Amino acid sequence: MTRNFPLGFHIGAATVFAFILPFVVPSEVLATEILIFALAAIGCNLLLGYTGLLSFGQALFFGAGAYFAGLMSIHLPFGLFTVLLISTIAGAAIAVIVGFFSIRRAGIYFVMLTLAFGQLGYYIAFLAEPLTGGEDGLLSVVRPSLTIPFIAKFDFATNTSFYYVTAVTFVMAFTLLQRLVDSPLGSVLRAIKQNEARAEAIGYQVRLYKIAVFAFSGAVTSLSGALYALMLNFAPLSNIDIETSEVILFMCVLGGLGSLYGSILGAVIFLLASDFFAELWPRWMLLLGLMLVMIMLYMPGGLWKSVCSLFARLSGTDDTVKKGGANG
Amino acid sequence: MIYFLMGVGLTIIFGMMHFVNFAHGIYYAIGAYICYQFIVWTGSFWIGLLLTPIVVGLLAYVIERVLVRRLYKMDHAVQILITIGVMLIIREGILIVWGTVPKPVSIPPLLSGVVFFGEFAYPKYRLFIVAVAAFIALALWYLLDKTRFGIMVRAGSENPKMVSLLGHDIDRLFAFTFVLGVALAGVAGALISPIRGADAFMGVEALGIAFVVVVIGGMGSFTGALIGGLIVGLVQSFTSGFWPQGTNVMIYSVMALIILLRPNGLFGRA
Amino acid sequence: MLRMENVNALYGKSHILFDFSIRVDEGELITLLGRNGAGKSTTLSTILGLVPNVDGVIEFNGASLVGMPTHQIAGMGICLIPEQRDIFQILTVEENLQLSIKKGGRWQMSDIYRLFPRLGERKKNGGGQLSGGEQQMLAMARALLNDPKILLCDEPSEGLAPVIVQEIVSTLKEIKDSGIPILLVEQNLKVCEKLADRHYIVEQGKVLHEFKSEDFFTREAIAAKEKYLSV
Repeated sequence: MTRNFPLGFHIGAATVFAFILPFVVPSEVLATEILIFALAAIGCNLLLGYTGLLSFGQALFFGAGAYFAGLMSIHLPFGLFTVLLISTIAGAAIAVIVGFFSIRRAGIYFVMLTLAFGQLGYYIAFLAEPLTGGEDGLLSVVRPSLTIPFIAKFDFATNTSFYYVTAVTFVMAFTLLQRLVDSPLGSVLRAIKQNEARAEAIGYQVRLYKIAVFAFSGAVTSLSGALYALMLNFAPLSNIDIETSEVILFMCVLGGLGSLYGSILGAVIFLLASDFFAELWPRWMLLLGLMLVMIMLYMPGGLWKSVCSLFARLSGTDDTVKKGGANG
Repeated sequence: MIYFLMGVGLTIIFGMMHFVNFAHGIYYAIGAYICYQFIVWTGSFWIGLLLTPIVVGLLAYVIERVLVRRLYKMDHAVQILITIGVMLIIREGILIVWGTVPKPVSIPPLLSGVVFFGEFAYPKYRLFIVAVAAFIALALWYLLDKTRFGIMVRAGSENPKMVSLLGHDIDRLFAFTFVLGVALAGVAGALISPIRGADAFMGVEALGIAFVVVVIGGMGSFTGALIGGLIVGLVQSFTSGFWPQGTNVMIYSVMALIILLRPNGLFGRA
Repeated sequence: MLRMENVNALYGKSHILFDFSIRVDEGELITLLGRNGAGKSTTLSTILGLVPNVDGVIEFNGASLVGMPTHQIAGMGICLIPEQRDIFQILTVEENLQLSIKKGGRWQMSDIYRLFPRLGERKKNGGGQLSGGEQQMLAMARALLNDPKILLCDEPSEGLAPVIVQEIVSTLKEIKDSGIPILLVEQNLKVCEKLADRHYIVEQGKVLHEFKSEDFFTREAIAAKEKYLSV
């Protein structure tokens, strides 16, 4: 459904979504959280959904982004834009290193390498207490302000204003990545997922492409981690632990692999459900486990694809089904 | 040695069916809980230790029949995600049945106290764990190396189709192997319960380390699991001598290094 | 004894056998001839239940085999020696043999070592260390220990030196003389001519011709051989 639309459509769709969201979910903080984790899930989707790389190290990028943003905001006089930009670049750099080593191995060994890097990151953050606050997390993170020279200076102390920062970042990052997966590079990634040996035989430097997709994934995940730390005014150690990797993975799989819209849907559903059940029934993760099994067994395209085909059936156009299918 | 028991179960299952079981840690946790429950009912740790693997094995059998057998031919990534789902279901199940507070298990009176080796005092119960694990290792070695069942398992890990062409029921063999591997995790959980208690989240770290053990040794290799367990144990006690907080950093670094230098682990085959 | 009638077999969406009918009678040695990809090996796999989608009649001594799991079919005494021989590389020669022993079978371990003295010499060696000829011997030995009622043999001479092919042929003959019927897939026409009672010529998943061995040199048979076997 997405591939054949022009860029303007995606910008529009993301903007409308980001504009409506705070009015339909219970709180602005939750809406901010949804956009942040949607970006993280998109980062995971780039690897797993488009390239077929299952990474258990996403929390490393997420946590790193949070620590970078937090540290810069505390110790350095940078503005908002600089903080986010540097966090993003740093995340990409870490991801290139992790990717460079991990992709030397395939299958389960690849997964274990990403896990090992993720765990290393966790323990390093845990041990580097003077810098990261160790188990207590990095406290008193302040939201940097945005200065447009000679015109105005914005700070983002209120939740509403910070939501709009997140929303603008979200729309920009989403559009950029949607463009990426629609580009020839995206096709190469899909080719690698389908049949790596063939992609290699046709003459693509599979290794370089894989490192590149790691870089993009690390960048966007780190960006989301940075936003999260600024939102919370706090960078907890749990940002970088394996459970965060799993949560990101869940959202990605839940919504649907191979579609960026799917990742957004995954984040929406996951966070709404956890918000809804948080007090009602703390054991709701049981349902989540059940859903994960069912989706992997019966709906490998995730919820997004099901929504697409349902929509197609309702409107009676076979065409949409085909496009949705090609997309999944 | 607990790591060996966890690792060997993982490795048998992977070696035979090429199945990556990310739920392995939760069977360890449930082993501890079931042992606890038997102690509550009967007052005897020994009955708990004996019956736990049977109960965990039965659970594994049901899960294999209903779910796991469909996954053998699937991609490893899919197996991992589905078994994480299974892990969540069982974990939340544990929390519903036994509540969120971990359950304490006491060391049986026969094994409390310490033994002196010259100047070193060593807890009796830990010696007991080592002895039980060594016994299980020996029994497994005999089973896999010397019996016809062992030949079948090894043959099945190489070429299941040919095993069934010789008239053996490969599905049953797979089910049995899965049950065996999971029951070993259950035993490990029961054994550790007097030290750590029963805790629904105890499987996470154990799973991580079990994977390290298996990957170091080479996925699917029995000897590998033994050596891997030994290496992890050594690295742990060595590091804890001078950098106690850093043991996990060391363990994961060693694993990453070994994967990068020896793609199939120390004893794995391509 | 073994009968396939109007069998259609599909692998996923590709149709590989079309209205395929052959039979093997008591004590016969039958060959399936045809080019690579004609459907010969598939026929054997289909009989053993290795092809998921099968329609038609496959019977062994009156019992239908369609839909039966492979190990049960094998348990009835239908024994396949696959083209790749499929020796277990990580097992020793002896373990390879132990795996297929059946209690009360006609051949026991001692018979095997008498029949194939080479295997006796190498029984502690790993299956991966054997030469191609030794692997084929081991595959046949393994089949015999499995107490076969019928033997399905896929290109036993493939890739082997002429001297060893001789040995294989004489072993096949011995097996046949002991009364066990054989369904043989073979590219080597000489081997077939020496052994077979009847021949089927297969092309693109269909049985095109059937010749008795005495008719195998008629003009019609020669024409068919030229057309479909490129000899």
